[in-house]
Amino acid sequence: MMPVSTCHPFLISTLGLLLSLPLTLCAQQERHETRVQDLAYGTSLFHLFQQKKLAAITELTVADEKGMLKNQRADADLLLGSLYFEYGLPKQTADIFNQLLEHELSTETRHKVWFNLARVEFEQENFDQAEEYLSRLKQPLSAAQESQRHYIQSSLQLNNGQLADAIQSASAIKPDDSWYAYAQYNLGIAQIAAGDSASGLNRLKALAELKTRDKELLALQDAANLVVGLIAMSQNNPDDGLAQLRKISIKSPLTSKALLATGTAWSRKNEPKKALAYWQLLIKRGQPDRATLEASLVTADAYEQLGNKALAAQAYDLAVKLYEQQSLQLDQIIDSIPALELYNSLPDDRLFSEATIGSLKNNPALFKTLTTLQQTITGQPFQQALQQYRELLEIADTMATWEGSLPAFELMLRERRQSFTSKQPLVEKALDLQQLDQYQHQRQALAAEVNRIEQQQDFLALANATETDYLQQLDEVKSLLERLQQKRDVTQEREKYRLLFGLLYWDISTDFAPRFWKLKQQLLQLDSALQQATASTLSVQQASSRYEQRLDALNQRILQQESEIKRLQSSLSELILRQQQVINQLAIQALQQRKKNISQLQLSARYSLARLYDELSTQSKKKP
Amino acid sequence: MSQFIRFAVILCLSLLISPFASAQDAATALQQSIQDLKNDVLKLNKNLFILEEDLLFPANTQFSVFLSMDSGKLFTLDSVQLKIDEKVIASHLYTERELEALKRGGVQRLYIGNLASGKHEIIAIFSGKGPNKRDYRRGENIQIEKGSDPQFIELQIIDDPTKEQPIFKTRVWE
Repeated sequence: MMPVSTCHPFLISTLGLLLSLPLTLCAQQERHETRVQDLAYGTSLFHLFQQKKLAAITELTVADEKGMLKNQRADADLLLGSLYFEYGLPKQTADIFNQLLEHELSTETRHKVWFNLARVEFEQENFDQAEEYLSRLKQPLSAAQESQRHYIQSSLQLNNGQLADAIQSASAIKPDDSWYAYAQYNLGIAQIAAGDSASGLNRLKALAELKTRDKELLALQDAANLVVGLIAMSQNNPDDGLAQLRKISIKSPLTSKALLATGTAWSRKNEPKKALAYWQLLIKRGQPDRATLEASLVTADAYEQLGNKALAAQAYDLAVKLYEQQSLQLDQIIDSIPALELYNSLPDDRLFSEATIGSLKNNPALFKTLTTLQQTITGQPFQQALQQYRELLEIADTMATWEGSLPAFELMLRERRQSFTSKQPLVEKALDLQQLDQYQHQRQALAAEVNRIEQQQDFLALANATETDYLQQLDEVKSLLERLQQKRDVTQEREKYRLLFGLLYWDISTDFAPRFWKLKQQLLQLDSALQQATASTLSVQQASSRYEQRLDALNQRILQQESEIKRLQSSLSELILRQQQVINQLAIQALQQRKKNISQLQLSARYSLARLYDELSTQSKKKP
Repeated sequence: MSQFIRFAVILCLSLLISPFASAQDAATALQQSIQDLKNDVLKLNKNLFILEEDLLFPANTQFSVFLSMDSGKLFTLDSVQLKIDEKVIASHLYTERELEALKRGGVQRLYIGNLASGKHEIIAIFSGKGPNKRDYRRGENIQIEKGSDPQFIELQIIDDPTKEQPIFKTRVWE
């Protein structure tokens, strides 16, 4: 089962799970009711369900920055707001919810946001604002949220002294919902405090009868049983009191109080021996709590009431010595608090189970301190301070991890830059604009030639390779004929030359149009290729320049984060120290309070002892 | 009022319980400093994650594989192996906690890396316990065409109550 502190009802309820109480919520592991429509929302839930709040927040904020929350923005903001609240950032939570309200939202989502704002304000003890947000709710929420809504409503009404309204609001919570138990407990106590103890006791008795295996609810039932038992005894009804006190678990943090009260109940029933048995059992348990210390005093009282003044004097004397010893021990514990580093040595188990306490026995100094301070440590202020300290340590771990990653980032960037630099000659070659200019000039010359061919209808200019070869051969024949005609008659050969040239010219000229069209097409293709080459060159040029700028920007970002980490680490170290002092101070204050209580008890024991000695001495004087 | 009643009343008052965290003095300088620090750390964390991604996985080659499941009643996932173009790129052995997080609707980022543009073959091999707690191993073959934008693939494990078998699906996120 997961620790209570890691599974806060606020967050779970925000997510709309059909669950109610912290431990139950975690244990039941219900499926999240909102369908995942953005991957980042789903990955954030994956972290959250493993209690990795920081990772869950980061997932959503990164996705937000990258514009990857397109499909369920409102859900993501609701989740992020709740995560911020869990992470102890109420202002940011309220900001997110209030910003969300500025958008166009479905009625259902708007109600969810109002409800969450009500809870934020309620937990911040801004009760007026909480009431204002609750008053906006005009339609039912999900079943789990409805229960919590009625719980908050009831608590707000209790705070305003509207007991009847608070009872009415709480009646809307279903008995199988865990909010019911908390509401019933608070109502019961409030009724008793308001003088309606019959109704209050009935309410608490009913609460104590609820079937459950939930640890927190069982602890609540123990508290209810103790209250009912004590009130019953204060109303001179020790039998009822005993019946109720018997229901308290022997392993409860309230066991010592229950044993003390049980002894008192037997004492009220004029059964001092039974009373003594319970008190002595309590003393034997040796718990360093107030009830155990009081047991020494009431034991002595009991002996006195039994008429055994000698035994009573002995018991008072023992009590005085015990208180002296306890007081000295408390001084030692107070002195040892800084060295014990409670903030680092405390177990995660907030409820201090038997197994947890057992595991501490190999460190006697710590064991003694923790058992002495158990009630303080399990209390809300101490747990909050401890949780905050642990969050600071988690932050320190995260920072150390990032700090360790930065050299790797720098290396990566250096390698990229080196790779870029090594490719620069190739890039520069590719970016040779002079060569491109030459190609352009050549193209212009070609275009001019094409133009000339067209204008001059120079068919022979488009002769193919074979034809050119023939033309060349014919040209040689022509030259030969010109040389030979001075020596002999070449009329016949000349005629043959003329015929062959004519045939060739005919072939070439009749094919001129398609050849010229093809030539023009090729020129157009060349134009296009040159255009592309120019565009590509410019693009590579820009990309190269951009890449360089990007590398510079990345380098800048690394440097910025490096200095930010240093800045935060410095304030983090200071805050960790201050938080350690807060925790030590809470422990020391509790121990000093305990010392004050012991001095009162000691004073009382000394007074009783003196009185008893006085009486004994008077008695002995009277004896003949 | 007897000592005992006083004790009872004090105890009653000290036992007023709220399941909510009662707010400590939020106005204290220390708390405010801690809140400021947390806020700064969240921003730093965000910036560093983005920086890391920009450095390691540039947008044009970025490729991610996610995994999700529904109730997980017909298939208990033990491990997943992921191959791209016949090369193993990721293996993951699931803890109880991760499985619970998946069953509750969380989505796991199984892999993030770089992939060149073009066609690729992805093979996901799922191992675990199938219906009736029998060993179950199943491979899924996916063909993708990587473009110049980041690509996100989601492997989905879904219970099919009509066939009493798990179904393995793939979704390519746009």
